Amino acid sequence: MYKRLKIFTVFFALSVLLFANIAFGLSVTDDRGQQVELAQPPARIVSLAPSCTEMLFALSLSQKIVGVTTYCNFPQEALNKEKVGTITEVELEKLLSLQPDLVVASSLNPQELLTRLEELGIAVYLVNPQNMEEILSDLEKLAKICGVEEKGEALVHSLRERIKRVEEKTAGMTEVQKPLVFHLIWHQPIWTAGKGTFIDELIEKAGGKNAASDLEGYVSIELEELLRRNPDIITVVENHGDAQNLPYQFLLQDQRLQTLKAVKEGRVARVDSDIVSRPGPRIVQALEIFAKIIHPEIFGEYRFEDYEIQSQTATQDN
Amino acid sequence: MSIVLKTTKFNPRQQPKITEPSNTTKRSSQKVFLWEGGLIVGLLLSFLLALSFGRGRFQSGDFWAIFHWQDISPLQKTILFQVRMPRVTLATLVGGGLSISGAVLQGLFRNPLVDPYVLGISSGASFGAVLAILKKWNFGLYAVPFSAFSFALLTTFLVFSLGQVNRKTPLETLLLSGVAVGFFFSALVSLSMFFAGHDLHQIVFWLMGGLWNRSWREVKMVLPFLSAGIPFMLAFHRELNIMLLGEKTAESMGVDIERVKRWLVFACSLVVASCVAASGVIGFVGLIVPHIMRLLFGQNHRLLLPFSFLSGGIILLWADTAARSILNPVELPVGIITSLLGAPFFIYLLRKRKKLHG
Repeated sequence: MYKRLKIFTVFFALSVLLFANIAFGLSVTDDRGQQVELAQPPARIVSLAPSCTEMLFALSLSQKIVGVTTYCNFPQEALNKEKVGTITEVELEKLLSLQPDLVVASSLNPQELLTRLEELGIAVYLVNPQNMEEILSDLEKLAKICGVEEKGEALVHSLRERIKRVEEKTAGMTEVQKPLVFHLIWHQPIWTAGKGTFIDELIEKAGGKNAASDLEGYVSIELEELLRRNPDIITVVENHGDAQNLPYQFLLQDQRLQTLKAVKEGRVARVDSDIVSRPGPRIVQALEIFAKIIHPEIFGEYRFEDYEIQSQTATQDN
Repeated sequence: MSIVLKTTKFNPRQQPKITEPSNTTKRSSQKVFLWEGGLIVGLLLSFLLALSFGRGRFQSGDFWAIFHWQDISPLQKTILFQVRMPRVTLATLVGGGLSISGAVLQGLFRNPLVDPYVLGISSGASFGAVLAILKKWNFGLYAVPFSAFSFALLTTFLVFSLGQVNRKTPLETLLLSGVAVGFFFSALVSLSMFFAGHDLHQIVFWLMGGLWNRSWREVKMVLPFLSAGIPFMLAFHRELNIMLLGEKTAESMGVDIERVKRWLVFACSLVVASCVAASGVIGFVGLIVPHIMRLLFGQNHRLLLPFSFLSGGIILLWADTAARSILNPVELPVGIITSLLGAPFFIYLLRKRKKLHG
């Protein structure tokens, strides 16, 4: 009897230990399809891309972020973090000296660097969302690996609500109600976003038609093609802090473009490059911006300045 | 490097007479005349045909559509006269300008590896463009080409003053100082790219070179330099022929080689600087087209120079048409096309000629 109890106790203790190990250990599959495992929530995190940095800050992990890239300029706090180089040129020694237990990387980072980090025993979590839904699920997964699962769920819930608020109003629109929107990224050559890009998704969800939806990915097209497609609305990317904004100047000044409907009717809107091009939590803000630009009668007037103030953190150090 | 400098691909036997065209039998001069006429007609036809390439009303090959003025919409008019025509014109001018400058410099330096960019012009221009991009010099859309042009000229003067020894300009020294200054500016460009951040894509596009959405403005920019520089170069065809025999011989034949060098390099610099400022760095045309012409028609500069201009124009015009037609409406950078199609053709010609002569 006594002996049995002893065996049982030992068994029980062992299983408790085993379960405890699983409970404290974290294991999440990242966007490479790779299992990333941590024994405990990371205490020192390095982010290697602005979108990752924005995700981590949105999950209230600012205390744990010890390093970011020079491009990470949002939120303001990110500017005060240690810099480990640019996205493609990361200083390995600097990164190691920060002693991270988790590196959050993006597909823009060089693969060799990530492999090297893993060889050195540092966990690398890769985030590479392809659409808005994946951004949300990536936020959840990142929250999980960082041990803030509840925070992640709450954040994703509120973001989902905001997306729903836009989609509810645009969902039933007929083709006629959807204006043709051209997104100008650069003017020489004319560079735009076709199918499979976030921009395409944003325009569609905001109740517009992407003028370049017949093309795949980010492409440069002929000037005459822009003239021929004659969009109702043109959105132009502006790097914030860049008062010059050459693509916008080009649209307003080049004589040949004055025949465009969007230019004639003054429906040319500047959008902050960082908000609309980073696959992070601010993509929801980007959706709200596009909704205002495309359907001001429903969502209200869009003013570039309103969104500029929020990201008045330009890192133009030249 | 020294091997390169001493090597000269020019065969003195191909240059029997000095002051007159090399093969002046009656038949061959007729042939030359035919070729010259053929190239001019070819250029004109290419120009018109290239205008018909695209989408919409002027579909690829729908050549005659461009002659139906009456039922043309305002949009089609803009596309034809304000988008395609300046672009095709600029392609012709830039291709021709780079190519004739290449022919002049190769003759002058008696070195087959010389191209219009060898004097550091393209690196200097690139640095000027990059500087304007990074410093955000704000005189609107003109800042970048203007800065590129100024730096291209500045570089040439720098190279010239560095290349001078005892008030003379030995060609090797000039070439080497050009290469050195070129490398220096390339390094500065790389350094700027490293720190460029947001502006990186702008620099990359500029360095790639291309004729995307160029307007009459760029044509107006290159035209004065070309119309001054090219007749000037053509006028020096005799001196260039004599220079082929070597500087010593040329001097003893009464050519003021210092003056010839100075003026020709100056003219080439102006032409190339304006071309680079208008279209970015487009390789291949200035280096290879003169060689193709030399393989086909021999070394006589009286023919080589105009032929290089015409064929350079035709080649860049078609390369640009291909660049915007192959994946239409998506555009490719034109430099890729020139090298992709031109290099194999050049190698084919080179090997064929080697067999014939060697």
